[in-house]
Amino acid sequence: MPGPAFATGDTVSLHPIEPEDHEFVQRGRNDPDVRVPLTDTTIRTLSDVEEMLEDESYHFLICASSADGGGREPVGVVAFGYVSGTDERGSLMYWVAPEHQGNGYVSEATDLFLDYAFRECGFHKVTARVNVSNEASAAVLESLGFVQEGRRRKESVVDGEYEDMFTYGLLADEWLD
Amino acid sequence: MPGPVFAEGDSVALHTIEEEDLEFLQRGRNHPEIRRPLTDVDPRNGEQIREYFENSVSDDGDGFGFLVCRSDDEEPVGAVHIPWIRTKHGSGMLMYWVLPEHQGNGYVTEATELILDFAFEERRLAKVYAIVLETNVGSQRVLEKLDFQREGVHRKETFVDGERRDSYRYGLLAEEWLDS
Repeated sequence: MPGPAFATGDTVSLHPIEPEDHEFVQRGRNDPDVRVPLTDTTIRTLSDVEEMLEDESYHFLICASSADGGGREPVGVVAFGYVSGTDERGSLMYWVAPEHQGNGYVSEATDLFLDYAFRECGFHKVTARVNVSNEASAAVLESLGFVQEGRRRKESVVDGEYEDMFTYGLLADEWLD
Repeated sequence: MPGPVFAEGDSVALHTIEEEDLEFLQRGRNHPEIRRPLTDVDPRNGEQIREYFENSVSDDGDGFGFLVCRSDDEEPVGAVHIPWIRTKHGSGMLMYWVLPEHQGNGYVTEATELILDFAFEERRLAKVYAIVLETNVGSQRVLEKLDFQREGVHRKETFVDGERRDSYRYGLLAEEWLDS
């Protein structure tokens, strides 16, 4: 059972990440379908996950109604991987477990997260980086109004080869308008 | 007297950074004409420079940096660094500065050539990138002359002269440097 809801949309809600959610996070971050698009090559033990989430602000568990109708279950994470410029810019990170993908959870959770970051925390800008082959993720960002700001040549390794990365940015006034 | 020469060009050489150079480095990093184009807003006292020396220069981390000295008299004129390297994907960030009284002599370009040779020929970096303020045309010229390609803009990510400004991101791949 996840902790209390911090923000609620039509199908998903954002929750603080509790110690009992660490196992879910660990499973997600080690799953090739999740970590490869995130260009995350780190092997994470349960205690690595605990350490990673310790003192971490701007990290939410994404929850949705469970298929069996028995309340809510965790489906993914939306977060700022890091913030810079004294809580002024955040680098967006999200993932949804493979069995829950294709339901629009990422878009809705990110929408809630951006409202929180811009409207409540006063962030000035949110940035994101996506491998050019990750069309689904680029589509999510573009549907939320992110502007493509660049293409970093041969910036990450995908399937044994260097691949370009798109950079995206969204300014507070673009979100609020 | 600076430390030994690590790489030598025509008019400048790269030297190891020694304890005696900290005062020079501190003067540079606090100089408004240097720190503002670098968008460095942190005052650096002697202790902080020493910490940087101990933690970043003197450890065996992935990054590296050099004192840039004029060749004919070994006068320190600036510094060039690749302080961060994303080792898994092999890209490193470039940073350089030359004191205002020594600018306009091509020292930055030559020092950067020397550090790029080292980065690509000896340290096996796959890519070097740099981030430059939109208003810093001089630095953009240096990068473009060295065949860096502009790969994007960081819209309104820097705050300079009371305003939010864009900066540009430039990248240079190992094969582009080694083939030229």
